[in-house]
Amino acid sequence: MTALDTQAAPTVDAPLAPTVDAAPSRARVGGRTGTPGVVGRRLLGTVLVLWASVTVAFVALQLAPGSAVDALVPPTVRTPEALAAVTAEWGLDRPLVQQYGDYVVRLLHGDLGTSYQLHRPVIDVIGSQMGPTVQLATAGLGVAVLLAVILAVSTAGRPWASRIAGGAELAIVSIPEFWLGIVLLFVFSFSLGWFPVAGAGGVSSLVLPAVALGLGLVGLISQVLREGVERSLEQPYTLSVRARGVSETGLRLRHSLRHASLPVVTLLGWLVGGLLGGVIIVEQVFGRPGIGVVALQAAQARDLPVVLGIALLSALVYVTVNTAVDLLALLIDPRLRSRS
Amino acid sequence: MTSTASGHDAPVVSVRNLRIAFPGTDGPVPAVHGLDLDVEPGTCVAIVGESGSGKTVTARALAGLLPATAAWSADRFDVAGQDVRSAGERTWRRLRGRTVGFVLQDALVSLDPLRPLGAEIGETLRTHRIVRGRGAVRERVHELLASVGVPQPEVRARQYPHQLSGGLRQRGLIAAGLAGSPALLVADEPTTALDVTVQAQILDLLALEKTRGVTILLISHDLAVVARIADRVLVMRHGEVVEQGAAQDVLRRPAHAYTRELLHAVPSAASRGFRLGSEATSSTSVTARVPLVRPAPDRSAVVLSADHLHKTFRSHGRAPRARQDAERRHGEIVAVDDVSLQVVRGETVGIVGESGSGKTTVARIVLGLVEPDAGTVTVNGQPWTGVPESRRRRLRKDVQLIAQDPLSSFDPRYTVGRIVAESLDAVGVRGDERRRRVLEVLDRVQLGASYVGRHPRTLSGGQRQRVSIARALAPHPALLVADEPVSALDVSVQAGILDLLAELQTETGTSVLFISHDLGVVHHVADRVLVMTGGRVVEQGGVDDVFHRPTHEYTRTLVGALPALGA
Repeated sequence: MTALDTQAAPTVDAPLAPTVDAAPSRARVGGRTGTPGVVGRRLLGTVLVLWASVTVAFVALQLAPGSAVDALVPPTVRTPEALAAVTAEWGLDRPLVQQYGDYVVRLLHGDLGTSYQLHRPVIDVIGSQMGPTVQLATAGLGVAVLLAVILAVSTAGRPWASRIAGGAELAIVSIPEFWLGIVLLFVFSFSLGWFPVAGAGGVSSLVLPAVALGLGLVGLISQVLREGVERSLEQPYTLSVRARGVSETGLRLRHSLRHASLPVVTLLGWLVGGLLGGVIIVEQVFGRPGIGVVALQAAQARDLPVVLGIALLSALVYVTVNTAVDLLALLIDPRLRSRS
Repeated sequence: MTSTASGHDAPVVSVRNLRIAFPGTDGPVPAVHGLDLDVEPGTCVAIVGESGSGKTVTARALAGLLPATAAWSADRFDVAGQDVRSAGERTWRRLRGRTVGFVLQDALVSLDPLRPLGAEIGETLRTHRIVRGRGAVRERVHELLASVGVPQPEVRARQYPHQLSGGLRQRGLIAAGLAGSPALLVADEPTTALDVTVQAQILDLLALEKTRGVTILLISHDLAVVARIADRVLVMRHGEVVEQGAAQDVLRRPAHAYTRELLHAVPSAASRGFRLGSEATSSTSVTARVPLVRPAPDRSAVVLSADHLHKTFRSHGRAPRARQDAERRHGEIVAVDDVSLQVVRGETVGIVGESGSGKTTVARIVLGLVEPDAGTVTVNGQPWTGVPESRRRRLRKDVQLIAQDPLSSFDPRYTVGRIVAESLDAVGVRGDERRRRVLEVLDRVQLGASYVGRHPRTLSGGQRQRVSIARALAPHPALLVADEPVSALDVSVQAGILDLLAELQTETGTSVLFISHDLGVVHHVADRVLVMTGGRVVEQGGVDDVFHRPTHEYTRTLVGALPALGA
């Protein structure tokens, strides 16, 4: 729900009022009136979405074929003791409403159940693998944004440059991550030996995976960014800026980029979802530890508590990122703050 | 005022034979040909002209901001004593802001909406390294804002354009233009789109800057605005200067026929009862005004009667934006507060007011588009408010709208013929009868049958407004509601439209409710006038009484703020 709302956010440069009717008023002093309300509503929305995903996860557990116990315990480890243990742990002999209440309370305490495959609490399994994945995702996104900004700002409004860049972006978007990863590995690790082949030790092992993950996003981001910069350069205020003696680069970096970043920020909220999928693949290709490996193994072994935990985690990430995106949009565009 | 400042009187700008052309489909299209211009230090030179006269392009050239496609040449082009004919982008960047300050029209779109006002002004200071250090820049910004008359500069500097009124925005833009203490300040239509009282304040500010020694090149379409501060005036048409001289000479004793035509076309108290257009101009004699004959309004036939109208909007409703901040009380905006008015047959009633005065809401109620919270409206004696739309629809032909921006009131896919016919569909006129009537009204607004198949986008602003009038006229309305019908038009085009409206009124005997922010226009067209502010009618009566002997303080402010041509 919050995620959908962000679509309405970037009304980038629409003039706010008919110019003839835009004159005298006692402007409000202080500037940020209304912001706390907007932020509060967003945070409330976040909590609601999280609660909904928790509920969906619980319902999924109930609807799984057979009894919940069958779903929770994979056939490979199904012994009477195991079944009894799970029944006791999840309180499956109690009424559904109580089970639901217990489930929510347990989640609030960070208890996601126990992995049957690894015999460890799910929260530990996920927690121990979070670090490398967060590193990779952040680095990948950073690579994507950095390249996109450079590409878009330098080529916007320049017909030939933007045509060439546009073609290159399209080509990169159409390359699958695993293939790109393998090519990068082959060239820079096997042939040139610049970067390690596998593992997650330090910055050098992060470079190639981050590039493999980020390149796919560059095209998308820079297309949106370039269009935003171009639209912003057509606005009348750019003439005022140029008339102050500001250089073309200064104009683009200080003014246009900010205008163009609004739709991109919204887009990022959506891309993070796709990023999780990309992470799983890239981690496999580069033999990195991380959530991807955990997710894959859990899915193959039908380790439901882990799968549910990861589903909840991705919902949390998605919702958090989108809330952050909404708040970022408020920070970028002061006009959004005074609208409800 | 003659050149007072600095001892050296070398012109700040000296231009000879400036030529600017843009590429067109059939070779280059000249925008300016052979312009000579000298601006002495400490003076204000004004370039006056209508759209397409080349005045704005000339202003851009002075800041080296011509579009990349423009081709230009000059025998001399000196800015602050420097020949800039072969100046590159680097040289221009040094000049812009530092030597030539630029103030554009409509500060809402001329300021970056995402940056606070102070950042915009500070940008000039930082770019040219005029003051160094964060704190020093901030301090200088506050000084600049204070010097252009912005109260509480520390607060305003932190606000964003959308939080500031039009007047404050324009002052901020002027402060940004002056931040580099430029040798020349180019002001391109600095008061367009401002209310008349705010316009007066901005003109006073520019006059003040002139006495402080700032050299100003003022670009405007409005002769009256220019008259207030310019020492010299250049009148441009089709890229050429047709007349120039001391401001008072040009405005009082115009030598060129075009200048006379322009002056003549300005609606005012003096033009009342006469045509504005001057077709019978002989090139030498002073133009005589052609009288307009209009039958006296028929006091016995009341066409529109509105009694004690009230309308309050919730803050989420569609109220004029300017008022949302000003009068928001418990989330409500009182848009119309106890307004009564009557229009009799053949009469023109004017409503004047500034932005947010409630005049447009009154128009919407009269058009039956907004239901008043209290009060009633009758049209030709029939109830018009408080009745279901099905009953009102039969009466709708009697009340027709002429909008400010005709283009946006047309379906973009319709041809002229279909646009006009649209208003006839509603009253069930079809077939040959409809075709005949479309041609008839198009003829009335002086557009021939050849216009029927044209698309509005291919028409000029004046022609579009004529189509809009034809559409309004087609179903034989009893009342035309004209909401700022000439605000977006050049003065000579405006003259043609106002003359046309007067003629049509004489021929058809229709009544007009004429809503405008322009006192001159209202004084020219209206029999009676209502002055609105803050949703209330503060004064009403015959136009001459109200404008010559205003009793309410607000009316006096409005009339006093009106820039006059002198004479």
